[in-house]
Amino acid sequence: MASLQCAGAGALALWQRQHSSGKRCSIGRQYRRRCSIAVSIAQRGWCQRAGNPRSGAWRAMASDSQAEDEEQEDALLSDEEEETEEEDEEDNVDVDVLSNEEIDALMKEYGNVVRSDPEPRKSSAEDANADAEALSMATALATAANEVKAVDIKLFHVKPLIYWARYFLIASAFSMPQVNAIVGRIEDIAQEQYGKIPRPSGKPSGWTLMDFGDVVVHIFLPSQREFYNLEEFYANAPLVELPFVSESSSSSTARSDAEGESEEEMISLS
Amino acid sequence: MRPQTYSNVADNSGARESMRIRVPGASNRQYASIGDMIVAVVREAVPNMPPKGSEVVRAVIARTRKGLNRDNGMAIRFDDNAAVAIDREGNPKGTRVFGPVARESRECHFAKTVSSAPEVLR
Repeated sequence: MASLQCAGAGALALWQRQHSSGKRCSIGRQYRRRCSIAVSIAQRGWCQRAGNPRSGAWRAMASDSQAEDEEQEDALLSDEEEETEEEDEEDNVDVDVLSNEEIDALMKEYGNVVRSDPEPRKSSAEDANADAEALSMATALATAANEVKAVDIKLFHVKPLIYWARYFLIASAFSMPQVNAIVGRIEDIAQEQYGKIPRPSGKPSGWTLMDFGDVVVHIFLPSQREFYNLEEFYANAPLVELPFVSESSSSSTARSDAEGESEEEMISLS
Repeated sequence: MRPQTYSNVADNSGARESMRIRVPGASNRQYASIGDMIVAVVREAVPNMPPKGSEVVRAVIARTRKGLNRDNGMAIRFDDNAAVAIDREGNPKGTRVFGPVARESRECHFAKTVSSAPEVLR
């Protein structure tokens, strides 16, 4: 996202290279006006505060600049003021934000898409479809894991928290062969029903991750699940109800102990 | 990131600073960038935690001052060099990552680092 951010201790300077066409940039039209001003400021390596390019803070930063930078910024600001002159008449103050319709009109008249975002934002309808598909895939994968006797299966809807995935499926397995079996089963289901292949992320281990883009599957050994504690990290993500009752690890160990005892009784009787 | 580069360790594994030695799997590869795995030696560590000073660890580069350029023309640069300690299987040694991480780590097969990170830059 072409945003200007100041991120605390790991402060970063995020800037954009200006296209040869001048003020126009193809990355988010709502940042178009900020881009051209931001480039000249960012070139001095300053950490930018997200906000209005016409706010006092930005003007204060501009006033500290060298003469040629000031001229460049003033030229850019005045150009954009000319474009928005008609809209500014009513307000008598600088218009800080153009409406979408005004930006569309300006883009139509002057705009020239040089390069489009390879990950464009989806419309709400497309997003809803993608959400539904991701949910059905996550539920199918959870069912597949349950069939291979994975325990403590939980499905988190993480889209409100992070942008790079919609659902996290977390499950536990008791041994590496079981982890391999779950991985194989999930890969088969994902390929056959949804045509998706997981992104390669190393060999299966104590924490096995399968990245299907919108759905990310985490398979842990019980000790690793406790160690990494992803459920606490994503505790604000709502849990999704699954169509089956997932066994918890404590009940499965209790059941296996009971089965072991009954087997011993059988052996002693015989 | 070149050999001998010092970088912060951006997780709670116990190491604080590390120095890059090599990039594994290449004979004389000089530069490592965000998303690359490196071999590093711990230079400074939190007392009474597992990684000791002068212990050799593997790490994934999470942030660099040099930064990276993306296909859409965006360039990202960070204020520090930072790496996340991992083990031989690629699992992070710590449980949480500190600071933002670029999404390239996910594309370079280190989605576990991204899962533990508080912020992933689009």
